Amino acid sequence: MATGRVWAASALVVLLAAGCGGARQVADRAEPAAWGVSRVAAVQAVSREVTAANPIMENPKYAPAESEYGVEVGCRRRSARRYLCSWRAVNTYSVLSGRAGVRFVHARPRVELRQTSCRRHVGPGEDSALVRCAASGFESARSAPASTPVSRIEQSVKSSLERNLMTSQPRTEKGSAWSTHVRRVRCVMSSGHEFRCDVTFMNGSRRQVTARVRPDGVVAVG
Amino acid sequence: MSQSADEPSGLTRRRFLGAAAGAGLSAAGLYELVDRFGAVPRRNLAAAAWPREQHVLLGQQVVTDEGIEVIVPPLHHRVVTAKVRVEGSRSSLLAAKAELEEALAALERQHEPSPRGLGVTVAWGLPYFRRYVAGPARAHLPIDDRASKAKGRRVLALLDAIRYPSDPAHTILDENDVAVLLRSDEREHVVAGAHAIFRRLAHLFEVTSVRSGFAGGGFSGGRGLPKEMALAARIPGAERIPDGAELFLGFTSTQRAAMGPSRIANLETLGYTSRNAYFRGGTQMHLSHMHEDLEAWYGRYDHDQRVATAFRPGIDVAPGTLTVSERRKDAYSADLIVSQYRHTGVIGHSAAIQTASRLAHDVRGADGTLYPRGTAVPQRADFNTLDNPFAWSSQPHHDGMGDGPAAGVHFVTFQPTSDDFDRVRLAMDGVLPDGTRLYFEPRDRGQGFNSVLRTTHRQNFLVPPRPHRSFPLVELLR
Repeated sequence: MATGRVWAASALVVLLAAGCGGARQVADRAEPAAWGVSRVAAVQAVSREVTAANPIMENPKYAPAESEYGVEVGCRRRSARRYLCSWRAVNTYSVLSGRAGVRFVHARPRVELRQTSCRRHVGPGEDSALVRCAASGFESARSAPASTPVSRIEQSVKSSLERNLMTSQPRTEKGSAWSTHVRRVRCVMSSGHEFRCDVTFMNGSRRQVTARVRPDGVVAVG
Repeated sequence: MSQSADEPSGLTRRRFLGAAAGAGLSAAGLYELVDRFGAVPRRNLAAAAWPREQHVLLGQQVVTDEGIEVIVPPLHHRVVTAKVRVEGSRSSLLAAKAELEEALAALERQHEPSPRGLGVTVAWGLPYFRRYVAGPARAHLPIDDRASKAKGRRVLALLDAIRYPSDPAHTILDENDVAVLLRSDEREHVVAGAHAIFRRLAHLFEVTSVRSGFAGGGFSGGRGLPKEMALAARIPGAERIPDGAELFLGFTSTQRAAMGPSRIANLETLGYTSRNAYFRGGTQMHLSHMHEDLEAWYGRYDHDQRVATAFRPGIDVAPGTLTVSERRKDAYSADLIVSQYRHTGVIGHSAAIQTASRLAHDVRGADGTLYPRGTAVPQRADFNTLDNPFAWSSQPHHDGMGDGPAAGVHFVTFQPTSDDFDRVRLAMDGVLPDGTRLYFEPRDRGQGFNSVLRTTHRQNFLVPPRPHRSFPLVELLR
């Protein structure tokens, strides 16, 4: 029994380590390569994986090759069946980029994605743009989110709550224990798109909220 | 046509190859079949007079295919290349000039200046200018101002051919003195033209190669000429050529919007060159031969992939479409090509070429014509062939002459300068005019055509205007 717990713990550590590194192996999504074992097949496999990992990219408006948006991939052959690629996914809110290794096994591409950056593209506000960027990045690694995006989700929750509370409960007295300002937020992923967040206000009161990442990348606080 | 693919026209391979024997100037061989399979196009316009431009062939028929205007090229083509065998004295060269001019003029008297008659284009290579008329050439060969500015040194409009990134290392860069392109709907006219120049004037020329072929023939219904010819020659993959195709590779390539209008390819029209007074009305001609691997083209690419690599990724055309619109207004920019490449890994042959082959802005030509942005510049005169790689060669080993027929194309294009051709050809390999280089591996499937083409020979020529077509610059020798 104890041995089983050790194995489970070890497996969890390995999974988390992989998640923090931002890398993951994709094996099952690979389709038979219509372009054979080729650079084009590698490009298209990476594009499929990035799209699948970032549901926002499934929006048809990001698909056309002529579009400024979408997934861009460049691959170079390393050996007969291996390609090293770089990719960039551009949507309305964010620019995600990273690297990918493609290995052809029985003419099927196996893609290993690694996201290396996430930056703001355009957005209506400074805070929300950052959050949306993070959210899009988050979806690229559903199974093992990196730590940085969580902090940005937390930032989004803090900003959103404060904006709402400032409107509904305007401060009346200087130096009072503010119930409208957030001291701390701690979020934990509860499902693929949802986060459960504990919020502590300046006056010591606490509240639990749920943050949900919508397919368009926006974080909705409920 | 009722014959099956297995029994093409009742010909056995032995009979077929036998027909191809006896190559040389008068070789008809397998190309006799062109008259059997290809209906001679009906030409409405009888051209009145020979233009100053040798490369302009008047009276070409325009048909509408899938709502798109398509130029019907002459049915029979032949290119004969040669070395000049005249001694280098001024008197000898002047005599040769007079003899050749008389032969050419006689051909013009016999044939009208249209595909119904005979189109003759005499082009001269740099070896001729260097060996026979070096002095006048230094003073009169046009300078390519655009290339000179780009490269920071003086660049001539006529340059030695080069190997491009997708060319095999063993592509031969020819060194012929002269090349004569003969075009007609009537094979007899082409043969007569070759005889009149190279047999009757055999004391002036040493023929180095004869390159024959055919074009068009796919617009009158049925299987179409390329498919019939490829089937008859038992070319692997021939049965997969679509019925009605204009060329072996399937797609129509002579639509009007993709061909340069009449005088745009002249040396002087677009202002690319200076010092061009002597050669005004002339142009630059690139001649190359490529093998086409039909089995790979039709076996490794499905229709959508062929469309994507031949035109552009993401284009939406009905299955089986052979004529795809390439309107002037749809001309592609380098940015778009890069975007398409990065999204799909594929470069569209036609779209990539358009970054260099179409005008980037409106140009008022030296002839007074306004050429709008997006107008195509190259005037192609390429034709399919079953030569391997030539119908006849004076150096069979050097030229890699193979046994039996092989699908290919003798690529002939007229453009204002050699550098202009280089730009277009490099764009085809992902080297765009703005300097962007897209990565492709050798025989990259994302390059479509390039992965199934294998270039065997290349050379650039200068096509003088008609008044100077015979031994140009010789009269200026001292």
